[in-house]
Amino acid sequence: MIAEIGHFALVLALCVALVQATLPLIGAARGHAGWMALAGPAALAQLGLIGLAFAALMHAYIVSDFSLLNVAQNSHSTKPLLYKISGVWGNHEGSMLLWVTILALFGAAVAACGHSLPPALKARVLAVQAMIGLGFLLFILVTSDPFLRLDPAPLNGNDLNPMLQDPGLAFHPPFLYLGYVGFSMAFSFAVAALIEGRVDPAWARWVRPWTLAAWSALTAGIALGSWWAYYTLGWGGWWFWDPVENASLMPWLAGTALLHSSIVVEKRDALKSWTILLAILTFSLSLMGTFLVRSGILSSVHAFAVDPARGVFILALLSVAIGGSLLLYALRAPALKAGGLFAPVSREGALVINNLLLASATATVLIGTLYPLFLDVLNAGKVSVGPPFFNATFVPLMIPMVAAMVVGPLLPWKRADLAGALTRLALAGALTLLVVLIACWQRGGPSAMALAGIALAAWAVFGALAEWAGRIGLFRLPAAESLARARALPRAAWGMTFAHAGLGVAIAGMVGASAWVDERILTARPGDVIPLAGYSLSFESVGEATGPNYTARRGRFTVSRDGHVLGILEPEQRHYTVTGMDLTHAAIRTSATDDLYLALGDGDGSGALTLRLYHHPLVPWLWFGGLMMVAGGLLSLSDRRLRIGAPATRLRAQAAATA
Amino acid sequence: MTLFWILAAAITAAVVAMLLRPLLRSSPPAPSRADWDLEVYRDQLSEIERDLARGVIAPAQADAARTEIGRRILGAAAAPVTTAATIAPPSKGAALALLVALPLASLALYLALGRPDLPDRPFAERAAESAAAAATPQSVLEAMARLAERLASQPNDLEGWVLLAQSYGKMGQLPDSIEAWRKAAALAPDDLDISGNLAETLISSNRGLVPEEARQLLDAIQAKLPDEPRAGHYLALARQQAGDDHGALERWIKLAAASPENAPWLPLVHERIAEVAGRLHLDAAAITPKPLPPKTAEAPADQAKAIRAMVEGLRAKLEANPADVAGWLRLLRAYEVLGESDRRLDAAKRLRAQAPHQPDVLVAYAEAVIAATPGTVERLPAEAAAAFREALAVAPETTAALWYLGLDTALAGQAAEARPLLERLLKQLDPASPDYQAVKTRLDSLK
Repeated sequence: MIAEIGHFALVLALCVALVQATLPLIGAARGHAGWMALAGPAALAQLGLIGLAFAALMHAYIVSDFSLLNVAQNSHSTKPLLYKISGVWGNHEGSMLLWVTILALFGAAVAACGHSLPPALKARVLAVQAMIGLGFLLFILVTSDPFLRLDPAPLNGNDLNPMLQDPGLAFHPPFLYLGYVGFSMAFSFAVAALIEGRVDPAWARWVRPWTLAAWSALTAGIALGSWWAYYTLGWGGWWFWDPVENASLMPWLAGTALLHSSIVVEKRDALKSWTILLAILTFSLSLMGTFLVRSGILSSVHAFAVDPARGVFILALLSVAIGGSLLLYALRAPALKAGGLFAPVSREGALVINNLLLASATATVLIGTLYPLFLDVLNAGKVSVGPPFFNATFVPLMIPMVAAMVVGPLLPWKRADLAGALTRLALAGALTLLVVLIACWQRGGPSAMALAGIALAAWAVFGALAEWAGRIGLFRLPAAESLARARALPRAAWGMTFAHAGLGVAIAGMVGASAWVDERILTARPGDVIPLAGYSLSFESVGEATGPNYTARRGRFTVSRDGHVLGILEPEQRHYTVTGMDLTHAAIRTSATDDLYLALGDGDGSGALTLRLYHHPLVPWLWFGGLMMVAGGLLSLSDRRLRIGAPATRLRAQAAATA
Repeated sequence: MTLFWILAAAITAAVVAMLLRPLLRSSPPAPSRADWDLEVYRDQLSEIERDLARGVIAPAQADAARTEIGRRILGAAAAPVTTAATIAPPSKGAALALLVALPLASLALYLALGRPDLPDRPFAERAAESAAAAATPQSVLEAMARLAERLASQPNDLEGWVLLAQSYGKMGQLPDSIEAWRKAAALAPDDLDISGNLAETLISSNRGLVPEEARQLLDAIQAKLPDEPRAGHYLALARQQAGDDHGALERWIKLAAASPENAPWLPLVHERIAEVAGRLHLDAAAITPKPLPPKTAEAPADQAKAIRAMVEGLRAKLEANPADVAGWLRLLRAYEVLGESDRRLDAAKRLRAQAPHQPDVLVAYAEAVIAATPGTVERLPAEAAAAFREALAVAPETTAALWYLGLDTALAGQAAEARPLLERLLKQLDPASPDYQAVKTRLDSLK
């Protein structure tokens, strides 16, 4: 019965979405306050209903109710509880339900916290949001219903792909979806603004928190995803330029551009049309990412062959959402009033460069991702576009982007003095040079690419620090005053410093992981001692181990350095009994500056095992940098200027004060 | 199900109530859009003051920004008022439409998609069902547990391990089965049948993919018995799974050529040859070899020979130890299966001499007499009838004796004698068994 209540709630949510997508829109056009006000409760009701459906599905997973087709296909009674829960979104149907749940969450957040929004804008935003929801709910109920029942119910399920049975993957899709779906808010605001025909700094201010929240979540999602790839896939890489990864990178790049261009709208009333376009494109890329990840629009062309209804529905949904919004843009954007003017060398100019480079980078990734897939669809042969392509196209775009990122915040609005800004960065430049020299000395003349990378990383970190030091007048003013200024600095400024420096830290990690890896593949038997990058690993033993739904061969290694024992590594090679799949579970020892990565391979029959050992200097920085960027986004989100009161409350407050 | 509809109705009612509230209320005039814009611009102005106080921007910049925001404030104030400035009346029409349409539409859609009749089936409540589905009777499970226990203390019992491995395999507990086969293979490294079974179980547990260990085992079998069909088939399959279609085809062709025409595996092999040949664009009919002529006589003859050797062994044992009644009975059954009625009668006589008053011995003797009587038997041979009566004298419930004597007297038309015999027999039979029916029919025909 619980499952059927969830199913019913989902159907009711579809009907409510239909109401929410139409009445408030008409109300806003006719100035009917009651119809506009309907949007709020409708959005809250949707969250309640979809949340109920999601809870019902999760309940079915937790109690292993195999009378649901979806549960029977993707779960098993012996699966650990964590993966029963994460199994809810570890499959197409469930992930689509998570998607609309998060969509409803954002809609309800606008309804609940959006009292500072003008009612007409709020009604339109929620109506557009409901249209997206309508499309997805229809898609779910028509082609991907997670509540389909089986009668008679099978006694047990097929289990979840063991690759997905991992804490990294358990939490990474929700974050990714928070990001993807969060950009739907920017999209809804953009479409609402186009319908309304006005985009002004106030609009930019209202849309900003949603964009920031989405960007932070997406950053966290990507970082978690690459962390998962790093330790689950078992070969020590962290980014593979695989279509699924690119699908999350593209909205991130476009969303980063959007975040910056909306600052220009907010502060200078310029770049309005471009910002609207970016909002539409960012969400379009998110939509594509959603379907690439789970349904394989193109990554697996066969998805269409397997289920044509689903494929056609996805195409229709994409073309209505993207085509419709772009059409609206083409019709209404020329009517937007142009705003403030600025000189090429100015804060605005720097942000335009940032946007140009980020947009080009997005286009590069888009081409690299879709081109082989299109060739495949057209039966024109298979090509593989891999790291060489992206190294030759994406990386050169990122180098000037990061270089300019440091200078931009030092430029004032409207008109700026580039030489003056560069002078203020002299110290950062000198420190960067020093870091490069140290890297040269430590690593004995590494490749030019690695040097460029480490220079960029240092430049980004020191540049962000220099900008921050300049703001609080560090060393220029008395220490007490600097401290006071630092305390009074707006959270948004702290956020920027964190995010920019975080990018530098992450770049350092990337360089370490790609250029300075120390890798060994060898066969060893218990008793052997293997030296690697100053560490020594002694192979203690190998034995059998049993997990809840797998059996494993587990090795035991002691890590020591200069005779001091640092810890134990226990890599496993697991065999998942239900799915019959084998999986390598690498053991990783992380320190502040490097990772030791150890994966167990097959035996040769004589007791010796193949081992793959990696020493990855700076790799932990990759995820630490990502964390700093997320923290920057959240800090900026908490800035007081994003919490604007509503006119009504101000009027009441004034009335109270005078009375 | 009733609870389901009550809950569904309650949820729908709550949602409709939420949606109707704003529609049925007369809405106060909303502040105009300009009021909201001004709110933002006022905040921007105070932000400039904050920044100036912090020394983050220069006074000249602050002035320029203030002018710009001031211009925006003027613009916002001048913008036309778009939202209603009057009180909006409640929209009863829309409310009524929602009240009717929303529940009806959801209900219709749900009935098309949902299965309100199906209850939840959480795993925990299905323990009985899963036990039943496991389909292994408790007694078998207990026997297996005893066997496993015994093997733990006597790990050198080869037959025990084989039995355990087969049982686990039948129950689908492949990892356990593999473990037992390994133990058996370790005890009998040269037994190709055991290593073949181990390889096969390894393959099944690997979802049909031939793992390296299985391939090595099969290679070893093929090295000793080049025509062994199981090894030949799986090694071909391994080639195919490794992407070597040509190699796989070659092996299947070789296997087909070495198989007799009536070999049970031949259709499968032909199917594989056709499939792989199709992929390689070869003519399957042309490359499929002619199988060997059918094998029939040889194998059963061999088997009979082996059985006979076993039986003679048993007989020799009984000669040495004639008091072993159970052994004699076993020997009689063996002769019965082999159809050697003379030897059977001979042995039955020896047995009767050993235990002249034991009813089962008397029955076995009588049956041996019947079997040894040439031609179709109209009446029981006198010797047999006498033995049956003797058995009944010792044990009045001996079913075989009751049946034969009852049938014999009935056929002879001696109904008065037959009826009590058959009635006694009927009492001992399960009314559901076919025997019961047969006896009852016979008895009814006597009335």
